[in-house]
Amino acid sequence: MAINWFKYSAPTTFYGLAGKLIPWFAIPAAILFAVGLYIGFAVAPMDAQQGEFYRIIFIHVPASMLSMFLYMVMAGYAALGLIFNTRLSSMMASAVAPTGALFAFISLWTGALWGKPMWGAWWVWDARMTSELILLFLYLGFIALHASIDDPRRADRASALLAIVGSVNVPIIYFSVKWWNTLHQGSTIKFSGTSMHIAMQQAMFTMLAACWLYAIAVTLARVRSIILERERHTKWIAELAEVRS
Amino acid sequence: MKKRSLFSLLMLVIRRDLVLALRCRTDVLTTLVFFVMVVSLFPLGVGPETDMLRKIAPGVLWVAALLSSMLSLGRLFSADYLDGTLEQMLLVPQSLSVLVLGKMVAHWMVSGLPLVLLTPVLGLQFDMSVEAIGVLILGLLLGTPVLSMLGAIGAALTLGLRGGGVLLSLLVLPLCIPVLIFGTGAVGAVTAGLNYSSNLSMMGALLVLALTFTPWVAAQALRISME
Repeated sequence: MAINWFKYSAPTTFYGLAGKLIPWFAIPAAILFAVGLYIGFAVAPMDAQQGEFYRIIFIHVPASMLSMFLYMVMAGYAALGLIFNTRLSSMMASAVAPTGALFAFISLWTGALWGKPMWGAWWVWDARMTSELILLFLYLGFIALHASIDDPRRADRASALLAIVGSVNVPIIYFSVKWWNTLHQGSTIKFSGTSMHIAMQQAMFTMLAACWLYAIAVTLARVRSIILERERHTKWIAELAEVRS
Repeated sequence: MKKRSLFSLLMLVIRRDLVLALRCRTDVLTTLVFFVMVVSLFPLGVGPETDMLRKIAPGVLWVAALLSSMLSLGRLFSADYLDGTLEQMLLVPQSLSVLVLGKMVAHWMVSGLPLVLLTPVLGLQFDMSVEAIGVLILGLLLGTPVLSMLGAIGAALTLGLRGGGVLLSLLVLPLCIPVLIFGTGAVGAVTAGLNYSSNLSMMGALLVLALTFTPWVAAQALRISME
């Protein structure tokens, strides 16, 4: 029997599937957040050098990792949409973007909160921080371009092109910023290469998994709204139980 | 009709855009005046100490060049779009990328090159050394074409949108950061007595990369915007 691999690439079928999948990601995300925060605050020991302040990494590191990875996911979906002209891929790209921007913002915010007690400054023009800031700008550019074009097909294709150009540019920007920093002021702060305590690792990985599941659940919920909005004139939407009631 | 060679097509587009720019000179002059004004505002803002001015000069000149090239980018395609010429250009049985490249080159000659030529005067205002000015000019010569080319992608994507100008800057400025870093880095290296050739080589690499890919990407962006 031949399997139809493309069954769920149509918004009509994916809408139902996404609805069924959301609890499977949202509930584990909530549980893992609770577990991760418990391990992070109660089990993990105090750091010898940084005291209690280090605990912010349990949200800071997962947020930074996801903000970078989600940009690639977004650019990947956008490229799929541009190449194969699939509606759902473009919808996924625009559904991922706000979550990525949110994580980039959380990463900068928590970094500032950590930097004040540790480095004595809210903001340092460090290579990593600067490239994270530029990443946030790239997300905002994508969202702004998508929002300012009225025709959704043109918006999808234009912002897809922007996302691809951005993803080509990201490594160039990263290395130029890294070089700029070392050229001007040298590396002022280095993370000491001490191995992490096992409980810290557990807390970090639990939080990372929780953030992943949260990102997937939120993206699925958002893509359902986008499908509803874009296909509102179609018959199958009008026949949905939640629309009729 | 005789089919033109790619090179003669390129020359045709460049000549056409240059003639158009010369026919309404105010557009060119406003960009230049804007550049000079922004640069002259900085000493008023940060104070006239020569040491500090010498230090911030490359950054100020580069940022001002970046901003004034953003200012003129809005006009790159919009006039042709409004009078329908752009639609005819898309229909031409020739490579659209070459047409776009021609427009990029013309845009640089109109809005980038004059800035480079003005730079020595502004550099003297900031008490830069002759050597530093030389490297700054070399960097600007390599870098401003990249700004025009990256900007053309943004201009093509935002064609005919409301609030296009601000949106264009939002899209293009983050992409221009490497050019800014290497351009100012070269001047910083020469004033610190270091070797500046690595910075300029990186700028050259960016220029080649942009020259290879941006005309095609901008052409695709135009097709998306015009369909």
